[in-house]
Amino acid sequence: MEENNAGVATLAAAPPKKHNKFVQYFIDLGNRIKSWFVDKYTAIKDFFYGFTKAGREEKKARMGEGPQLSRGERVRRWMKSQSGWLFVAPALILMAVFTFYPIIASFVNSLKQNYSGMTGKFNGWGFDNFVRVLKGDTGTGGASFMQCLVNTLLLTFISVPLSTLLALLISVALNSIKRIQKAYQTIFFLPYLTNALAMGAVFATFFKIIGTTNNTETVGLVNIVLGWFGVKPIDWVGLTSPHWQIGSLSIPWAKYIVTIIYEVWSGLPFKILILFSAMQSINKQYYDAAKVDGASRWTVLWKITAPMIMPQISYLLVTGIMGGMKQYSAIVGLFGETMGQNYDMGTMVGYLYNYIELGQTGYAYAGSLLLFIIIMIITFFNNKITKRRTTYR
Amino acid sequence: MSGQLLNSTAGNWVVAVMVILIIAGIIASIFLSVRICRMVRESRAPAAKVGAWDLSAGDAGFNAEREKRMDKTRHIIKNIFVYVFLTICAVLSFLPFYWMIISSFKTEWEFRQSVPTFFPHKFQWKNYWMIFHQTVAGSGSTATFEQILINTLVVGLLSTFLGLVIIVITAYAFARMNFKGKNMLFALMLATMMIPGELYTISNYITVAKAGMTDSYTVLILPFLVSVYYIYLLRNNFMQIPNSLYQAAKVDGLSDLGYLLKVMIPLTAPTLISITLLRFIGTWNSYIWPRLINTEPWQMITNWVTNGFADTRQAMSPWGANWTMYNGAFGNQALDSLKMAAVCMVSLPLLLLFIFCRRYIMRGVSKSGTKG
Repeated sequence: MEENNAGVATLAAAPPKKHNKFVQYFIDLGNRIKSWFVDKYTAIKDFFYGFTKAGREEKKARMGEGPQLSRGERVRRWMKSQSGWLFVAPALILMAVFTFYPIIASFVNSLKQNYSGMTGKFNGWGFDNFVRVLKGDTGTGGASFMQCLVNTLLLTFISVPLSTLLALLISVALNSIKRIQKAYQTIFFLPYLTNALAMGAVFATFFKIIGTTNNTETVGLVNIVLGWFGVKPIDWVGLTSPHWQIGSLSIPWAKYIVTIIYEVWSGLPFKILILFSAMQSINKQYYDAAKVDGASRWTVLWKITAPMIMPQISYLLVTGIMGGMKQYSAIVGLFGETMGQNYDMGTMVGYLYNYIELGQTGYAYAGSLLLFIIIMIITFFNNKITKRRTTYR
Repeated sequence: MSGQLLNSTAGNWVVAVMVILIIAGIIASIFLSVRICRMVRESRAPAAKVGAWDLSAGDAGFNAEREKRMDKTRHIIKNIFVYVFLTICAVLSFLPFYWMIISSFKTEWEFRQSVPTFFPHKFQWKNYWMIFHQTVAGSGSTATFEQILINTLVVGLLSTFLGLVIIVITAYAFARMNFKGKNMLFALMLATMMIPGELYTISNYITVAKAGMTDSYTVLILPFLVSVYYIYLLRNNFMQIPNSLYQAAKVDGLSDLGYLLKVMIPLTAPTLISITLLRFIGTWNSYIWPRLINTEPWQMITNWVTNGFADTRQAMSPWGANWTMYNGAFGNQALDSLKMAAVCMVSLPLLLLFIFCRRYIMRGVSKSGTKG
């Protein structure tokens, strides 16, 4: 008995060889690939089995179980079951022309050298467009891609966290008061729906040097306020706006500040709305429990409120960054259609439109694909980060 | 300097209020920081004290009176700080609207004063007449405000209505019908949401220009009729309607179309209203596509607002062709006071819409994170 047991034990104790993690990964990968091929093979075999004589007879036998229908009736029934296609047809046709075709066309046409959209003429295939766009060697006096990329990234990654932080502060403050909360709410939500071009023009009047009357410079509101502290008027949005030069890149910091202030202002209402409603929906029991435990206000904020609204914060950062990568109309509203002087405030989207208007469609396609790739990379990182963060719920 | 600013006009109480608020904010923050420092110091020297408990004094050490007082003071200070902070933020966030509205009534002389006024001396309604009856400066086109407004309304209404029809029937097919390849098609449509819309613009521009459709309403409407996000939103709404309702309707002899019109649409009305509003706002704010594809008489209101408005002699004013407001003192310069009037014309409808339909607009936006 004893011996027998031991024998079983030795049999069971011969497990598959333990591999280290690295090797195991490739073994699993191999197994997965193998099973994928096996599945496909079975599916194909089954499919062709339907055409063999045995298969056809089997099918006939199966059909025989139900009521026998005439061929016409069967076709009519099938047509009726597929009538959903009729409903999606308008959307499908429009999307085929205005969505699916452009996606394919941009991949194909970006590889055509010296491509002109209107005539359809091009000289040969290659990655010439991409190289020229990245080098800034387009030879048409349009915007520079690197400048646009740096502008877009800097503006987005400064203004989005800034406005989220400010929105967080305001909604915490809004959440802690009781009287006239509704009135504050209304005022904060007012800039929610605004026309970027219209409001950009208003912001430009705050910052610009308006003109000269009686040989004295008249300046906008911001310069007047700065004047109280002895700061000389700065040309925030105009032609003589100050900037730093780094190689071929120029960093027009004054225009950056104007843009960031505008974007924080225009992004606030949506962010306050989301954060404030998230805070309102936190169960009051948590706060009562914290009060009983004698937690300080600060502890409550960081240990209860912040974790509970973490999903909303990461959502706001994601949508904010996505929107920021595509900013354009605010820049036009503030600095006009040339996007500052020599396109020094150009953005990625502005780059595309600039080259469409110059008739250099190939560069526009290459630029749009680069924008697409950058957005994909950001989406990828966002997904990684948000997946980790949203597990508080 | 601020004294000069305060004395400049009668309406400058606004500045006074702002200055007072900011000063109050600074005072409150100083007060608070002193208070916090003291609290920190107290907490650092606990030796015989834990909070309000004075351990050295035995059981009698709990000073309830003192604790209550401290709590109350802390509460009041916190409230002052919060209200001041909120008020400063609210003033700053409302300031652009206020500035836009008052500037639109100022004369250009007043607008250019070296010391700005916070309330117009005299309301100049002629600013609005000027922009309504002016062809766009310098372009030589015949696009007046009426023409632009008609364009915007026609395109807005048509694209909203047609778009809504397409969205509803597509969402219905995806939610209620079964056909081969349904799920694959839906996945394909959702996948296009990841691609930035700017990618399409270039090809669409070429397609439309080659088809010779420029300078028309069609070209403003067609490319944006289908909106995958709204289809997705409405499909989810449709799928929430219980299946038993469908069977009940069938028993009552309602056709599929009748079910869609009489049951599903009324039940999802809030979502449909949000979609309608957001689409209309989207058209109102559309700028890039009309600028790219159409010449001025066919453009939209947002294109109109980016123009420079001058005190030109060619203005088709109701007071005669050669009427000007400033006797040609500004020549052909673009005037900011006129521009502000135009900005008001574009922004105020949006503000009013938001105030009156806030619930519907927010319902649609809070999920997508995009406006229009």
